[in-house]
Amino acid sequence: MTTKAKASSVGKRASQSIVDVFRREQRNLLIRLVLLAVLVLVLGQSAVSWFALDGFEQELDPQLHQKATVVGNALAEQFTYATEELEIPVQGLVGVEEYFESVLMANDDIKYLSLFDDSGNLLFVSGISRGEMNEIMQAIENDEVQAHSYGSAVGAHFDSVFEVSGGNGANSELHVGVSSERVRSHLREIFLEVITIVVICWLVTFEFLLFFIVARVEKPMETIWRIMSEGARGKFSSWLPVRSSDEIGQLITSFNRTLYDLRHRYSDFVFDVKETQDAQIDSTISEKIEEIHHQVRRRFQFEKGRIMQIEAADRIRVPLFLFIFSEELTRSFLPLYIQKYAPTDLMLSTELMIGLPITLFMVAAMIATPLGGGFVDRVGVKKVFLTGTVLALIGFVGNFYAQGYVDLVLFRVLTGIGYGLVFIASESWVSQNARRHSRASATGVFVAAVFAGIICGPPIGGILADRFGFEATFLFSASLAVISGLFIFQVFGQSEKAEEDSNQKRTRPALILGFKGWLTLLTDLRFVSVLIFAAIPGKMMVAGFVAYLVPLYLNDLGHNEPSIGRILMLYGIATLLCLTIGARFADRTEKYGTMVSLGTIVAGLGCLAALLSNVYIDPTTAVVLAIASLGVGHALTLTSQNSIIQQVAERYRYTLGRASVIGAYRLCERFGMVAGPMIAVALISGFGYVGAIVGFGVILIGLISLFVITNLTRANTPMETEVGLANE
Amino acid sequence: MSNHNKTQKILLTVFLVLAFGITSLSSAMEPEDVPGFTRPFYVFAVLWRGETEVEAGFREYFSQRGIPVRMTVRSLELDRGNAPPIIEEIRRTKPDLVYTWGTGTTLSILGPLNPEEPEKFVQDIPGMFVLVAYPISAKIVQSFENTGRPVTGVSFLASIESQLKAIVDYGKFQKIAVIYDETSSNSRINVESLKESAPELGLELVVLPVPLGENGKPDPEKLTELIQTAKNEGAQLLYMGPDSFITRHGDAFTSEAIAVGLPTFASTQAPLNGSRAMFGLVSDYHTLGKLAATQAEKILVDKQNPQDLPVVSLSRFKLWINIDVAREVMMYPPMDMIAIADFKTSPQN
Repeated sequence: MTTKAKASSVGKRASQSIVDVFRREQRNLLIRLVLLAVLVLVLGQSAVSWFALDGFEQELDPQLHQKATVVGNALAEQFTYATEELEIPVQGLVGVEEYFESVLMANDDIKYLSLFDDSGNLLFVSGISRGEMNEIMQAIENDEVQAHSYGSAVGAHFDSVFEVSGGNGANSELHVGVSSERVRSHLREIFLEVITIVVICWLVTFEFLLFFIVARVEKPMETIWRIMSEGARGKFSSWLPVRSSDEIGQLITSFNRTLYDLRHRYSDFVFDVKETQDAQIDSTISEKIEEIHHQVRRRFQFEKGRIMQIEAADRIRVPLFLFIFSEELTRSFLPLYIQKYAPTDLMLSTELMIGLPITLFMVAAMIATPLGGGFVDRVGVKKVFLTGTVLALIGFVGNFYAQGYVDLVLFRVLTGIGYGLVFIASESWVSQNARRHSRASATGVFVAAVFAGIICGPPIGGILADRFGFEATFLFSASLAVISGLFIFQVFGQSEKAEEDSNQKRTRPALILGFKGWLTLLTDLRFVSVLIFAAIPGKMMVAGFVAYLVPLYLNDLGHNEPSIGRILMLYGIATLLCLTIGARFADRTEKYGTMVSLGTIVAGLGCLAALLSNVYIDPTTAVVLAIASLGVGHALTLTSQNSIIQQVAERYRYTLGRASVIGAYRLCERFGMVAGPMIAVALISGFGYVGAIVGFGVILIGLISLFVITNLTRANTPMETEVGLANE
Repeated sequence: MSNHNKTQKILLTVFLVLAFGITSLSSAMEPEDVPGFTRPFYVFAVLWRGETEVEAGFREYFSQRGIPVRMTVRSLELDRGNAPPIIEEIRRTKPDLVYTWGTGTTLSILGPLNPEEPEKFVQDIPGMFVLVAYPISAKIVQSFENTGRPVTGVSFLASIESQLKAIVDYGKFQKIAVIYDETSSNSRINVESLKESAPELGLELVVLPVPLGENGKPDPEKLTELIQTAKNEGAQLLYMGPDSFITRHGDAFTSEAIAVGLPTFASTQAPLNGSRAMFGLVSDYHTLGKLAATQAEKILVDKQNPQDLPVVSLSRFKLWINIDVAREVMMYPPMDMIAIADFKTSPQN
């Protein structure tokens, strides 16, 4: 290596590291910006929620008291009628406690009802024992009460008194008790619901903020750095496409002008050199000039420029998020909605009739995924994504107008096909646009969008369904699908067209993987090992553990539905929080296989922690621990799994088609979803709930050990081929 | 982007328009006004023992709706032998509708479903009955849905099940007794249904037919003895069905029952008004009359064939409690019944 070359390589390295430093700084700036925005939002929301809750608390007590008053007055009137009008002696009243019971049943805020005669003897009481009632009366008589404007707080109760006038002037007393514990538990419930909403707001804001910052600021700036680092190497030939007229757009415009002016000056300079050279009679001088001109041309390059494409993997994020969100809106009430239409006069059980549309939806999505992969390889991402949104849109609107069970099932299937198409289109887009060194980060975008949709959809859908009804919520889903489709138009600007066209010319693989294609894939050790030891177990955990075992177990432990929902949300939130870290780490080390193993081990250990339940931790904590570890584990593995598959897809992109490989992978992976609940049932019936959770942990760790072994036995071939490729 | 917004707006508008279109299409129009009448409709009413609240409700409905109705009222005065001259009068005056009160009246005037001598009855004029306890068993109609002849009516009894339910809800009764006229088909049918339903509600039933006198009719002198028998058998309550004989002697019957500490439950309104029954689950006669009038309106104004009109019944019944009797026998109604019952006092008070 010559000194000159060495020097230039040193300079190259130096400029590279400067760019890296600048880049890191800038990333920090953006992260700080997003964090600041979210922090402000969280603080604001917390303050508002706090005040709202406080106000609610102040509002709730008098309201409960008001309820006690309404009930008390109505009852007192009834008793007065019986004793005064009908002249029934208060001691002779019949069925009073049964009557009280029915009132308590209809008003669960009211804790007890009791009736005393004129000399203060307790005649009838419901809701609490006679002993407890007498204690309360004792406390009132001894003045051991906190007086409120609306009653007396005695221990855990608010007691209100109502007069019942008897015919002979002997007045009896009716006591209505509201449990203050009920008030507190109401508040706790509301507090948790407010937190849920705040977290969802936070996620939605984060999604959109990140999208705009990445698409509008970060990516254009990154491209400018790339051009500047080219400039540091003497290359001034590229330019940037202008996509907006905002500050960044203006910067790009002036940057392009600078580059243009430089090129212009250089061509003037070349012209002058030519002039001077031609004017020389002495050939040695002419050769000298030629030599110098050559040196300049070698160091600076102004011609053969190209448009620097702005990296686009992230841009699928918002449309995908919106689409997943639209489908997930229906998740919370779908079984109830189906039950409304399910025919009851058939031989089949209602559970089966409710399960059928949900299963068919999954089957439709499952079939559409590999098919959609084939289509993506032929007609491009945009058309497949749009077809998917249109099918889903028809499905949603159809469900709004559905008249019977058959319509309902058909439209659900249509939405399922759309879902499968959008899914594979988005994933193909990410794999097409991911650079080699940031594969995991790029797939992280895809996974994050899906998870954000899965987390935000059901609670919001539940609220919408509660307010507007099941059918109307389908219209909200339809509108979201439309907006998602419109975003796709924005994502696929004019520039992508050329790329897609060239894609089309290059690749024309078969629409559906043939026997040969499957054979190629299923003998590819990397493909198969990731599939069997990581992907299928992962899906098994989602379907069998998160969606099946945990709700049943928590219900068994006495949790109500909202509480179960919140614990399940932990899985998604844990995944989402750790996703970026996992992806960054995977990209830096490029040890995707190690990340897959690590994540699965975390998940497995989390499940094994259930062994400690009832000994060191209570059962609910064990479940929470298992769910959270599963979320963290999946955050670590998912992006790396996808990266490995993308590498495989990259290898077969001209023979099988990139999207077809991914589609095939997704299809196989879903066997885990089918197997999950069955395995859960078998484990639960064999070992009980705790045993089943431990069993899942054992399965995970056992399979991942096999994965590690297969990877070690062919230590020379695995990821290194890809690293080698990347270094070319 | 503005283009996208526009598309979005248009799509949302389309949804809304479609949604409203569907809902507005489904709302139905209600026919409102009654066309001018050239002459009043003519209803010929034949009663059993004079006018009741049913006829009052019947008239009130028409006057409220502004439908002119002329009514001729005749009464059999408790004797089916008085029927022939009234039938003669009906044939002569040709009314638009014949209205009959009670099983006996209906059978005397309109006759049974397929009479052996049809010329003895009014068969060619639309007929409508009220206060017939068991029109099918009495062979007046084929079934409630399809009467099988140009006659329809309104049913007035609450089902035996809901009557027994009211009894069980009132108090912890375990054994009830029914004293009845076994010559009356209504009573026999009623007792049969009681025998069937009482065990289902955990009630034991004591059945006591009134012995017949020399004239072949039930002997009122025997009632006191029967009440005592019921008491001795351990009955805690007397059941009073749609039985004209017991109803006629209602006051004495219920008073004597109270004397031995037995309250009475009534399934029709008459004993509650004219006797000392403690409680009952009955149709409100006034409302019943209005229901009958809606049937008559379909026949008179809409010119519908009564044969196409099913026999209808009220969907709500009245729980009556005579609080004086309850006080006397020291059996106060439970609080949840007080909340829904209508209270009255004894005729004496």
